[in-house]
Amino acid sequence: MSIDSNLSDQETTALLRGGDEQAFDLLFRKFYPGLVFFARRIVPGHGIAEEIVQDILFKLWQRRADFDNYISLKGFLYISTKNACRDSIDKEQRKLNRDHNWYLSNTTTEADVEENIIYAEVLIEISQALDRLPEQCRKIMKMSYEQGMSGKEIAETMQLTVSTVNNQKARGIILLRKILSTNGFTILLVLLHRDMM
Amino acid sequence: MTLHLIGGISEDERTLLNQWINNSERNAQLFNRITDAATLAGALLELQGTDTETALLNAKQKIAEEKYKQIRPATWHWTRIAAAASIILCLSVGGYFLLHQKTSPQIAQTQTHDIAPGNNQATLTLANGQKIILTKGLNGKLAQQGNMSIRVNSGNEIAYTASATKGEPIQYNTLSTKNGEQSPYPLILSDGTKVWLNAASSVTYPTAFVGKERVVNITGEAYFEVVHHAAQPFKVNVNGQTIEDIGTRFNINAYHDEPNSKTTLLEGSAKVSFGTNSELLRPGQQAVLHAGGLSVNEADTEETMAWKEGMFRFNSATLDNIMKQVSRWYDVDIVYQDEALRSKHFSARTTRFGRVSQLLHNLELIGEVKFRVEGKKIIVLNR
Repeated sequence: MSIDSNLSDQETTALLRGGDEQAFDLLFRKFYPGLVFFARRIVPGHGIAEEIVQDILFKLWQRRADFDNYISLKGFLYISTKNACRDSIDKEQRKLNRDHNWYLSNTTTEADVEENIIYAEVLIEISQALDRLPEQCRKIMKMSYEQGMSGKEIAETMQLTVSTVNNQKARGIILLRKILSTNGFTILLVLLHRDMM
Repeated sequence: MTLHLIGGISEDERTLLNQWINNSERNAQLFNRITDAATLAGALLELQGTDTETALLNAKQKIAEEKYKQIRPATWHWTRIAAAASIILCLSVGGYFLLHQKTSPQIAQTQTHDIAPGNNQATLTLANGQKIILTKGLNGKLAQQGNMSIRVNSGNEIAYTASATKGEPIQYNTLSTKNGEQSPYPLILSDGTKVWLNAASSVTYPTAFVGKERVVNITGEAYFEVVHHAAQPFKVNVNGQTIEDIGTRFNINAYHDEPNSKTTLLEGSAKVSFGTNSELLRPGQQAVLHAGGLSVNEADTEETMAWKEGMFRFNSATLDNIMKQVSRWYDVDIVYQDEALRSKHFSARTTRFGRVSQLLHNLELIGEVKFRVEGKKIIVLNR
């Protein structure tokens, strides 16, 4: 049985609560990169960030029965990741205090953390929406927006005409808007979430 | 792109958005950050480089192990059923992995001889010969050189801070990595330029930049983020080439055992010169120095920068090139049973921080190749 990735977030949360492992896989794949990105804005080490996020996602599975809705699930992920990152820094600090009397200055404030949550959310949504574009359209969008390639460069790489490339880019933007708004998501809502947290 | 997406919102939503932006300086800054194309591109690339699948496999294994632990016989007459259940669970966990491997006796062999990946370590050699081993987790002052102090700063970077007295003679230091090492921190040169090193590489630099130009030398592979000073251009010497940089980000790959050296520009502008030839690069382009001279092509920036993101990324790379990267990172020798195998092409992607068997399994699945690991040697065979 394969989960339809067109499931709503609420449906996926409900399935997870019921112990559906494929729902877990879906959520893992959706949140892992964004959470690691978020964690790396707090802890310096790449390895530490990944360990922390893997740990949190495993806890998500262990506590699956606790999540009534998607918002509380997301809240858990970000807040737990933030706390685990802070704990990791405090641990490093205590080690250093014993050895060298040097200080790790932790400059991430609560406001920084909130901003980074929002940014991570935006990234996750855009990244997911990009993955749902048709193959050629997606490749072109990624080359254009991730790698900063010009229309001409993309046309040459993919052996297409520049007008085809431009058409696909326009199509991509329209499709992205549709996908993002169907999910009930707009940049606006994400920004307003901040006031709710 | 996000600006375009925002263009799709309604009038009311737009009003709300504007109100929100005007509410505080912080909101305005956040909005700018989200809609900045370059930041978004970098962030999406960073997201891409995350090895989600390996992490997911780890998580699923833990979940399976937990399920197994929960099936413990309550009373004696459940023992046989529990034993059967645990065998089935072991099989299904194992089966999950078997599904991703072709069964063959060689696989078992590769698993018993496996090699751990490299780690974040480098050696800083000062002009006076003093060596400092750099690993992750250091903090504070590392050394004093004349009136310069070398420290790991709060941003986890190695920085030079000059104190009041001037007129000290310029000294040259070298930051280097062996096989199996890569920079644990970026090095910040006295002008603010940042450098990262891959395995088996080095950068030699002066403690202060005086004179008309800023010049450093490298071997192997290094990534630079240069601070722009129009009056004092930044130059990197490597392999007889000079890369002149104009406030940019670029990666140089110039190992002696590779047929070509490649300079890839990510951002800004750079000029690559070799003898009387020179090429001016635009972002996303790569200057390749090969036997016939210098040429320019479009770069695969994901593949080029994968090492810095902790990944191996091969897009139709030759096995020769792949195994050379493996030998530098895992510190092993490569032996080919059939030289023709060197020119086979593979595309693969995996974390650098896994054991070598992970990458080798991927390659075996993709193509007509087999590997055998013997101590610190990997033998490449025909399938």
